[in-house]
Formats: sequence, structure tokens, C-alpha cells
Amino acid sequence: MSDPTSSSPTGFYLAVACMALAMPLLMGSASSAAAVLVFGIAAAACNLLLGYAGQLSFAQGAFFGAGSYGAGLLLKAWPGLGVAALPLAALAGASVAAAVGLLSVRQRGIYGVMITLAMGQLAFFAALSFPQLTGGENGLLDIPRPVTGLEGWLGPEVAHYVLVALGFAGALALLRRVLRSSFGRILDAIRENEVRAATAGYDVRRFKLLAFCLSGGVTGLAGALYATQLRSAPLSSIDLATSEMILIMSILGGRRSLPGAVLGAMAMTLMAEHLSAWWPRWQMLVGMVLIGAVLFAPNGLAGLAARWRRRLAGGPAREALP
Amino acid sequence: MNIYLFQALNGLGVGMVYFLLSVGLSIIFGLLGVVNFAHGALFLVGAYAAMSVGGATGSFVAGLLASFVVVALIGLLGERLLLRHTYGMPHEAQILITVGLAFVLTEAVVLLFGPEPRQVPVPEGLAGVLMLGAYPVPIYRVFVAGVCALIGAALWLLFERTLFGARVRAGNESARMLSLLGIRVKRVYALTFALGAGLAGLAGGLAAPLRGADPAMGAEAVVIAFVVVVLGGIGSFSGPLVGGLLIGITQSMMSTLWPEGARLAIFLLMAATLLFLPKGLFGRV
Repeated sequence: MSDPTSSSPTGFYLAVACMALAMPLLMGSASSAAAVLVFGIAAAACNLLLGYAGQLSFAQGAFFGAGSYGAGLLLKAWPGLGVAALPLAALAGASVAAAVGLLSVRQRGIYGVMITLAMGQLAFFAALSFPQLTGGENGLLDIPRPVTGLEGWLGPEVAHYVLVALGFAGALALLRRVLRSSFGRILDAIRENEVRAATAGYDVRRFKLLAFCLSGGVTGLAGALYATQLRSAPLSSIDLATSEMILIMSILGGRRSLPGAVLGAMAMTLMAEHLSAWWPRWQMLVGMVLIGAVLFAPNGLAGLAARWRRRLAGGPAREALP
Repeated sequence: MNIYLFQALNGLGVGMVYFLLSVGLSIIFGLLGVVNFAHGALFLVGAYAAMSVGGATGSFVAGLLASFVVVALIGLLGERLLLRHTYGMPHEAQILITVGLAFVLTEAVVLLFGPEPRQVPVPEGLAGVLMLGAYPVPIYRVFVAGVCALIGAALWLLFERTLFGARVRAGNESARMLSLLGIRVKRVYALTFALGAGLAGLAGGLAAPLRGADPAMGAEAVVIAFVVVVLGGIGSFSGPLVGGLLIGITQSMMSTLWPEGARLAIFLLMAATLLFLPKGLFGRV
């Protein structure tokens, strides 16, 4: 199984750098490439929760939206904050995740999943109910981009892409470090067998809650970069549909592979850009692809790639246990 | 009669529809352990089935029957073709299958009927209003609340007084034991899923004349159903009933007090309840 903890660090960082550099060429424009990287961050953060902590969350959109609105409100009030607005927006995502996690990790099993969805919608309606602050249905408009100092040299679009790419590399490096740490191993243990982890003395709820906060923080950063890319925070960024998109990207790419998450984000962005022009009902295919992935490729694109690699190498076709 | 009492009564009617919508979700979860994310999409299909069959035959009752039967059949097929293959997989596999199913069903409805919202006529004979003091109450709302109450009673009888109900309840306790007793558990699973789905469809059929039919109503409904079940507590019959009524009444009262925040209020009510009662009001899980 392709697992960020088993690949070599050089290979991983090389892959991240290649993705950030090659994405504008693959996607054809800086803005599409930025969208892929932004959703790649969000899907990778979803992997931490789903593939490692074993927590299925339908509130990822709420964390994403909290980051978007957080960055937007901060930059509109104090444009001088610049890049410092990004970690603050990540904090906003982490706080929302703490609130969602607090209520959902107390439940065992799938009951908690329903609570993540309901709490995620609470965030959506909170954004809708205070239009003076959030712009209501229109979302938050005219958000100034943080000044990086590269604008004069590279132009505004490329300069912002560099910011997104740096955020992307930073977020993936952070997630890899977290997953390689003893914390990541404990999440593995909890996912594999909660009772055994608790018997071994780990406070299962606390670790799950921490996983929520971390995932929420990184997702919040993605949301902030999304808002500065668009120069607005649309209401749809905090919607259930965003949660579902992030989740599908994570599952499609491979829930236990960080580069896989980026592949998932790229596949979905390509589908959204090209299929939607060809057939407005393209989301029906998304539904079918999701069903197919669950039934036939539980480890996503990354899992399929690993299986083919092993087959080519003449090894066993079955996937080894992580 | 004052406006708040009137709004509470209105909320009672809305709440009964919410009950019918969520009781199927609760039944399915109770037996199969599946959180059905397609429940809202099934509600949506029910509304369009009632609209088109009711329109084609000119009979409202035929439309309602179609909303139940068509959606129950979709449920039966979905269980047989997709869900059945995932019972050995981790729980989130079933959730993701139903999420995929919701995408497919919603897009299929748009494909067949277009994305525009549709008006659905209130059946003749139920179109007037009753005067309650100074406030007009549409007869159709009273009718819907009555039908939901009747179906609730019928469901109670089904689960408490029939052999099928006994099997479902036994399956809630231990599906393995049930199969050792020689009962075809798979058939009970399929029928239960179909019944839960059909109830969502029927709720859609009943709600269509109240709110019209539009493709976004499914996403709205699945969220409401989750809030009702989370608030009321899953795995019980009283949970969806009390949860549905509470949500309906809160939403209706708040729409007078704080219109922009009426939707937010029901989520806050749910979150506050969870803070003190992690299993919801009547939860057993």
C-alpha cells in the first residue's frame, strides 16, 4: 500500500515539488492549478481524519468555509495583515473542527458521522443567518489578496500561485510529519482496534479530537487560499457539497496516500472543468465513480497504481497490509 | 388565539412530515446499521413520482401510492445490487455507497424533469382553509398531519404486533441469532430498506403540494432527517416522533421571532441537546 510513512522522504518531497511545478502545465492555467493544489491540501487533510484516525467527516466543508470566511474577514478589515491572515484562518478552521469533534467523538461508530453532517450544516446556516457579516447568499466579496512582494516581478496571478504552492508544500510536509510521528501511529492503532488502543492506555477521544483539530486547521488553510485565489468567499465554500467533494477527492485518490489525495483533487477538478461542459449532469458520473471506487478500489487511484506496480514487478497482486 | 399558539400548531403539521421523513432513516439504521445518505434523494424522487403520476392519472391518491411504491422499489434494488455487497466492509463503505446513490438519483431527476422548481397542485377537496379564530389553516396541512399520524400508528402496529416486526426487532438485537433460527435475514434486510425508503418517498409525495418540487429539496431533506434523528435519538420509535415535532415547532416559532435564523435555531437546538444528552432524547445506541 502506498503509505507516506513507507516512502522515502526525498521521494515524497520531490513528488510534492513536481506536483506544484507541473500543475500549471497539466491544468493549462494558474487558476485551475491553484484550485487543484487548494483541494489537494483539503483532501490530504481529510485523509488524516478518514484514512488514519478512521473518522468519516461530513463537516470538512465547514472547516474549509471557516478558513475562507476567516481569511476574508481578516483581510478586509486589515489588508496589512498580508500572509499572516493564513495561519489565523487555519486557527478558525481548527476551532470549528474542535466544536464538531467535541460532539461527534463522544459517539462510537457511525452515529458520530451523522453529527458531523448536522454540525457542518450548523456552520452553513450560521453563515447564512448573519448577512451583515458574511454577505449572506452572495458570500464575502472583494477580498484583497495578501501581498507577497513577488507581484512586481512575476505578475499578480503567478505570485499568488507561488503563495498557494508554498502553502501546499508546507501543508503536505506537516501532514507527513504528523503521520510519521508516534501520534500518527496511535491514530492507526485506534482505527484498527479502538478497544485495544484504549486498553493500552491511550485516551481515544482525545486523540480523535486532536485529529479533528489538525485536519480542520489544514482544511482551514486550504479554504483561506481558496478565498484569496477567488478574491471572494462564496457561500458554497461552506456548503455540504464542498464537504462531499473533499471527501470524494480523498477516497478517489486513496485515503491513505497524501500524493493520492492530490491526484483525487486533480481528477475531480478535471471532471468538473471538462465533463460539465460536455454534459451538465456530470455529477451523476461522480456518483457512479464513487460507488465503483467503494466496491472495487477501496484504496483509490493510489491503491490501483500500487497494485499495477506490483503486478509489473511480478510480485503478489494482493495488497500487503500497511 | 395568539400568533405563537398558531405557529406552534403549524409547526406540529410540519413536524409530522419530518417524523415521516426520518422514521425510515431510523428504522434502516436500527436494523441494517446503515446511515442512509440517500434518504433525501429518495424523498425527492417521491415528490416527483407523486407529481407526475398524480398529474397523469388525475388522481392524488394514485400519486401518493406511486411515491411510496416507486421509491420502495428503488430502495429494494439499491439494497440488492449495491448495499448487499458492502455488509462485510467497514461502515463507511455503506455510507459512501448511499452518497453515490444520492448523486445518481438527484441527477436522474434533473435529467427527467429539468432543474426548474415545479408547482404541485393541492388536491381538490383539500384546497380550502379552516378558520382558527383570526388565523387561516389550510385544510391540506391538517390532512397531511392526520395521514402522517395514521402511518405512524400503522408502523407501530407493524413493528410491535406482527411477525415481520418481531423479526426486525430481533434483528436489531442480533442478526446472527436470527439467521441461526432459520430466518432469511437478507430478505428481512431488503424489505426493511425498501420500507424505510418508501416512507421517505411518501413523505416527499405528501410534502410536494406544500412546498412544490425542486431538485434541491433532497439535500435539504436529508439534513433535516439527520437533525431529527440525532436530536430524538436513534434506534427508537419515539425519537423521530418527538424529534420531528420539536424541530417542526421550533422552526415554525422562530420564523416569527427571527426569520433569518429559523434554520439556524434548529441546529442550535440539536447541538445544545447533544451537549447534555450525547445520545439524543431517546437514544439507545
